[in-house]
Amino acid sequence: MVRYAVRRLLLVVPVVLGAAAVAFALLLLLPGDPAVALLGQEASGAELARFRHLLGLDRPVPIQLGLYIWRIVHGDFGRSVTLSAPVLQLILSTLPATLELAISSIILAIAAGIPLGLLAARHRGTPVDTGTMLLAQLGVSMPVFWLGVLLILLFAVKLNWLPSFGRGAPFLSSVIRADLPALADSIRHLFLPACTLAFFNLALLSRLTRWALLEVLEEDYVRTARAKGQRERIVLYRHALRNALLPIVTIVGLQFGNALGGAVVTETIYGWPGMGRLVVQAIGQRDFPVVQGAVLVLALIFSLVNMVVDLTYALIDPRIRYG
Amino acid sequence: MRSSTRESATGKRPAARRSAPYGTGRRRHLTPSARVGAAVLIVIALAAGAPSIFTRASPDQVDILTRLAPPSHAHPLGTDNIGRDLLARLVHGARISLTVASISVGGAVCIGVTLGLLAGYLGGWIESVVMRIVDVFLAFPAILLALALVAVLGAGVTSVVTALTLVFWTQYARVVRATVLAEKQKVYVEAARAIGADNGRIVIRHILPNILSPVIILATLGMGTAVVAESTLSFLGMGVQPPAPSWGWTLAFGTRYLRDAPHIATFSGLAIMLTVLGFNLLGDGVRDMLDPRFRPQ
Repeated sequence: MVRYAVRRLLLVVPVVLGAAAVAFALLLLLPGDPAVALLGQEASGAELARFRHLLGLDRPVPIQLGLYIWRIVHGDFGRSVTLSAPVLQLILSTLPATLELAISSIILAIAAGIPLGLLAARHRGTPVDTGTMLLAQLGVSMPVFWLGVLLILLFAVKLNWLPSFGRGAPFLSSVIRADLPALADSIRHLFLPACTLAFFNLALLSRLTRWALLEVLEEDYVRTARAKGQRERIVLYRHALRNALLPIVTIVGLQFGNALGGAVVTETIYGWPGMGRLVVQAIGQRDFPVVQGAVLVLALIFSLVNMVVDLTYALIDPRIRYG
Repeated sequence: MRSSTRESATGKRPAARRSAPYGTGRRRHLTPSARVGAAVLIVIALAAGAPSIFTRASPDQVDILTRLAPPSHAHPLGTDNIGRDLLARLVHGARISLTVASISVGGAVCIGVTLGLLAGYLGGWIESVVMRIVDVFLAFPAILLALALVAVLGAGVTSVVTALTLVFWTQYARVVRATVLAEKQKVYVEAARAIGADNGRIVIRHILPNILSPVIILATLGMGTAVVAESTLSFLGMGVQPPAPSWGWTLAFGTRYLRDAPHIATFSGLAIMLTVLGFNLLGDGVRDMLDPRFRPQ
């Protein structure tokens, strides 16, 4: 298992280097002079020349890429053009909010999606199955931003039950400090954005769980378990669900990437102070060092999550690590 | 043997017959839900192709006196903030959404299938390079990469199409490469090689028809994803720019008037959802029809 883990970890390195190259290429795709794009139109000729030399923009492209990766490895993501702060500092200050939102949405999606899939599989062909899958079909077809707007319209504008903007106290610190009013405030702010972000993943997960379970329920060992007279509940949970977990775990990992991408939209709708909103604001202000840095960090997180999923996969199914 | 292409003893080639497509004995008909999806898409395609069937109103006709009007006989879906007919804007917006989605999915299919075929059939360093590039692209959340690309290319239809093509091609390359790896081991490829067919002929005439089913399924489902992606970029202000009646932009604008005119955001979102639902239902149906694994027992 350790050898497999090390091998899998090593596979992340070229992907991360490639992601850094893509982030670097974004700068090359910029029309005009990257130095002007980074410093703004107001920068003087001398400033631009000094900046080009500082970033190595006056050198050949491969050397520029090497320098960029070198700086990234040393934690230097550049400085924000509009906020006059190191990009890494901006990313680190907004990352916890994004992770809080993404993780809560994944937990919600798992907590509701897997039981719904189980319910549909148990009642295959009945109205329960049809209704659940219809809901799931709507879920995967509904754009995140529209769902967000509808939830705001209902819960914030019409009913006035929940806030539609901003983040309350950080969830984790409220739990650690056992500060109940802060925790309640945190949950009130988190509820709508997390539900919005979770809905697509929830729908996808319920469809996949149903499909995986129905596949597994056709297997011989399930028939054997039933022939031995085991109760349906035991057959479903102990025999079928355990084996159906493999594709479910994989999809949960991929969904984390969806959640990070979806957070860009959700954070914008709800004014959630995370990395997604930082990226959208940076794009609006043409603050490219922030865009590059945030895109790269999110890709890095996504790659690491995929690695953890692969390791979990290997833990669940020994055939993978010995294969 | 799947291949049916044979060289005759006289050296004359019989009329070129393609290898039997993937999933022989397949179901001939779409499922009822897929027919519903197809019907929805036909309506939306009609709106895109012949908007005058649905409305005579111009999407750009401003009437400030009727601004933010709720649905009525004169304006079946109401009006927007400067009194433009919402039905007309949504009907004309269908053309933008479908055009962007079709071109970007078409581009992604062309790039993905070509590179996937090359990687899967030739193997070696070409396969390594293509698949590492795929891995790198897949390391980015799709919408984030599209957003970053549009940010540097500049907002507009061309940038959106380019960005979505660059984001979506990887899934086709991955699926095609995996399918080609399985197909090239089959007897019909060996038979084609034995009768002297060159690599180009084997790939185009024999392997390509056999890998099209998963590509068609992915592309149908991918159209829905592309519609959402285009709307998302427009919603964030990075897609098709006003005054073009983009659905995403109309919805984004509608959010400013949620209290006074919720119909703007509601109907524009509904248009997007119905289109995506149509593609998803059709995609699921096409998958059921073409892929034997998904056929009901």
